[in-house]
Amino acid sequence: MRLPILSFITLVFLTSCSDKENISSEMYIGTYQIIDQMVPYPFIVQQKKDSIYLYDNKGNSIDKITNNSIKKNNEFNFQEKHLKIIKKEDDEFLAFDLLDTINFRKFKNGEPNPKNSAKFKKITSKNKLNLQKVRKEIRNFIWKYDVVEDENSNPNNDLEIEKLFYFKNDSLNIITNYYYQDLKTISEYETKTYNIFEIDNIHFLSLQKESSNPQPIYQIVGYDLNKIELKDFSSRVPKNITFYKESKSVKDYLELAKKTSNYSNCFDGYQGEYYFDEDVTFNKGNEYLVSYVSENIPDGEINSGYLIVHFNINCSGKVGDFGLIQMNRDFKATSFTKEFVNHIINKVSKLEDFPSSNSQLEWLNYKDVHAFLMFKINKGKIVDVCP
Amino acid sequence: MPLKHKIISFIILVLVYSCNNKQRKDYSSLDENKKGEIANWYHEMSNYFLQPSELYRTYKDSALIVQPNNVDLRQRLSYSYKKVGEHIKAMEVLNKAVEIDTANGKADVLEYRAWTLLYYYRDYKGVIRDVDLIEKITRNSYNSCWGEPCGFHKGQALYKLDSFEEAIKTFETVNIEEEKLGFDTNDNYMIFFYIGRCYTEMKDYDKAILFYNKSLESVKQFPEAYYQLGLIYKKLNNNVKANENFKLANEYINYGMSEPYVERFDEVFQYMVDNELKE
Repeated sequence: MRLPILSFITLVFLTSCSDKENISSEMYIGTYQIIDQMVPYPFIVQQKKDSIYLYDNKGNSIDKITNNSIKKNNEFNFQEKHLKIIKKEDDEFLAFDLLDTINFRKFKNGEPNPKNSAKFKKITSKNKLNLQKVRKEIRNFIWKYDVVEDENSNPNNDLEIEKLFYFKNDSLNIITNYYYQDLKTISEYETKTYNIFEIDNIHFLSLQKESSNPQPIYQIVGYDLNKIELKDFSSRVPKNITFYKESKSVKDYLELAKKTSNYSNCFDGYQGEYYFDEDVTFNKGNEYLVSYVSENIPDGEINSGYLIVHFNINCSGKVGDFGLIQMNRDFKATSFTKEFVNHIINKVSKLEDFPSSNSQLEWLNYKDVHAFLMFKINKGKIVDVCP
Repeated sequence: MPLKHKIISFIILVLVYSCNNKQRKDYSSLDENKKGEIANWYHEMSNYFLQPSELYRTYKDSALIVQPNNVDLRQRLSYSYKKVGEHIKAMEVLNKAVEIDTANGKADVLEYRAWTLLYYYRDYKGVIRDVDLIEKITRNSYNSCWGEPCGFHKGQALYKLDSFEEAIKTFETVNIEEEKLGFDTNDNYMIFFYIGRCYTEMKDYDKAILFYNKSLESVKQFPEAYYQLGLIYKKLNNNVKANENFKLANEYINYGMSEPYVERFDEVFQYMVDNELKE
């Protein structure tokens, strides 16, 4: 009895936060699946007359079923996806793929677990874009995105994060810069592929990595020579984000990319925690870290407290995807000097003695973990590392 | 409370609170039992989600709206932040729980905080302050802090503050109290180990060796004790014995003090043993 109740309650929760807008299209974008992990679900479903079309993350129509209706029917049996609709609202629905037993885990009694369902959101606006022009023009410039953090981001109070994008013909280069008090502390570089496509005058930008590492699809809601406006559906509340044209030249960008170290998550959808399963902790312990990070630490810091560097450890044992929280001895927000913070983050970014991560837990898939190092500072001196 | 009512109550609450909503229901007119039932329902629901997730926190927050003085829920909510390093929020939540609990003459949350101050924050003075307050509230010199004797935590804090004699005295008090309770204190290998560490720092190597060996009588596979013995024999220029102990530390390295979530003091790591064996 407990499972049906939990299912029902989860459904109520999932569908009770609708962002009501005027519906102008019968197209639904896959947002994320597994509601406490939020793994991208990059598919698009479209109702056209009495047929339902399924599109992949490149805009290819990969299947079609006839005599069916998203509004009236509760199961769409595509060849490779049997989507059971477990809750429907005006502008969204939750679907459970009965054929995908790996990503859509059921309750022990075989019933779909709504927690693991995928959420589809109705596309609510269209716009006119010359997609050929967009594709051509965006390659000529570098685009900057000041990251708007959400529940998918690592804990971070004190770093400003920007991403610089260069859309090449066949790939997307991304440099991530982390700033503390306007000082660029570290940078990371990664490459993905991308597609810009259109389905019935609705335009999309999708990212891709390996097929086992799903990436989000964004709706392009506006474009001019100075900015690309996107709707990002990957967080619980969809958000509008903007890429602005950056003054940096492509040549300078490529030079910068060469000097920037590579980091990418092995699975972007969800990171475990360092303490899940086998602990993923630094192989040499805290005493080593105190001594290593204290080497050449800048003078001039007089503050005391804790400096907490957040990061991911990927499946190869590399660290990246940083965040920063600083607090005083009373556990309230504080700040250390930028030279001091810069030194510590850079030292952490160069750590190599983490074990590689990979979930061995049958019930929880992840390849990378989120971890943190908390440096206890006494008048500018590192006196301990916790935990 | 009938199941049907629970579901209805829950759904109403979900609708009221889950959508960035704005309106807060007034629970003040409900009796404590009713509040407890609703809060417990939210609490159970939160456990349906991963502990560090936003949804887990949302449901715990909802439970606390119904029962703001429920310190157990408050403490549990703090784990969600603490385990993932969101420590400003974690301590804000935990300190509030301590404030409520101690105002009611209870030390349960304080016992947990003492543990976190030691292992998470290395706040040694805070540990001593909390353990002293626990003893004052409970009027008992032996208390349990998150599965370990509070005196063991205080002793470690004193050791880290270089108050070695006081630390030894505190560790010995734990053993005395445990003997009174009928425990076999020969099993307290960690206490013997840290007494050994104190004597080492005091350069009383004979006593240190005695206590490391005492801990090894209880647990043979204890690389930290072998490593410390090795360091002492090295200092005493007894290289044969030093090497013997470093080899044993190496042999048992996988049986170290390793704990989930935190690193204990004086844990030994492979590179440390390797460095000694190279010499």
